[in-house]
Amino acid sequence: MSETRERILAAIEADPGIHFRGLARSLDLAPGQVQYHVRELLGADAVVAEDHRGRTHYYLPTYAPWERRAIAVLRRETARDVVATLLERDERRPADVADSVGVARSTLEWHLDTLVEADLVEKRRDDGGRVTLVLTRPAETGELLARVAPSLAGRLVDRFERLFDALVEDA
Amino acid sequence: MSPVRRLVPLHAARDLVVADPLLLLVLAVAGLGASAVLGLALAVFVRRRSQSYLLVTLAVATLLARTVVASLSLNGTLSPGTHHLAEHGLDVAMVALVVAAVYSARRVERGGGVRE
Repeated sequence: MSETRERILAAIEADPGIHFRGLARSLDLAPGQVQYHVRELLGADAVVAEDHRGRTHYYLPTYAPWERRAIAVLRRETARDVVATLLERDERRPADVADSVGVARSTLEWHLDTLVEADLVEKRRDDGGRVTLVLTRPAETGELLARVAPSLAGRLVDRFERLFDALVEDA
Repeated sequence: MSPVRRLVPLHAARDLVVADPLLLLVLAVAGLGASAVLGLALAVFVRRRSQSYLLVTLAVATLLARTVVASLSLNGTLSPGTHHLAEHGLDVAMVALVVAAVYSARRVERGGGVRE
């Protein structure tokens, strides 16, 4: 295996769910180069690709499909905060979660949609129709949370969203 | 002012302004900053796909448009009169877009409520 390909493989191992542009940026490689080597790695089943909201993320094949989806979602700062809050208390009302994370309800709802879709969080309704949020796999989720970190650009996008939602909610 | 200066054609006289390094620096910083904020706004708009975020993104785009207008008038493409009208017109557009974004966010929220 070429040295470049090994570097790409090592980057994917160290940062599961890294996306195409992230690979090119962190390894300082031309997009064409990354494209070529990633295609070869995919062909050799050394790497798995998954599309998540318009972006292709790369993983080692050791990650199960649920883990791959979860990692893509847990790279978002706000989603991480929501999951961390749920890990501490296990079961919570959406309003309490929005309060302790410090986000507007509209921000929380958007991230909850993604978390529910990825099967990380479940919305449980009691007889009165009241909703509580429950983590579907708390132990594994906590482990994955520690393994991935959001990028600087990702953090800024999340904070822009928080800021604007909070501003108009108070208006 | 020397008599020779008067013989310089108007567009060339404007070219002299380009040499002001401080103004160029300010324009460059404004352009880069506005592009970065526009990138953030676009990313959130792509994520949320709401009318509010579309309006906010357009409001931020007017900031970048101001830098473009300033650059165009520096190289003589826009006359000073057009430059002023365009810049203050962009101010009006920005205020209107921010107000519309806040208004539409409120309306969507009342209409849809919070999904539970």
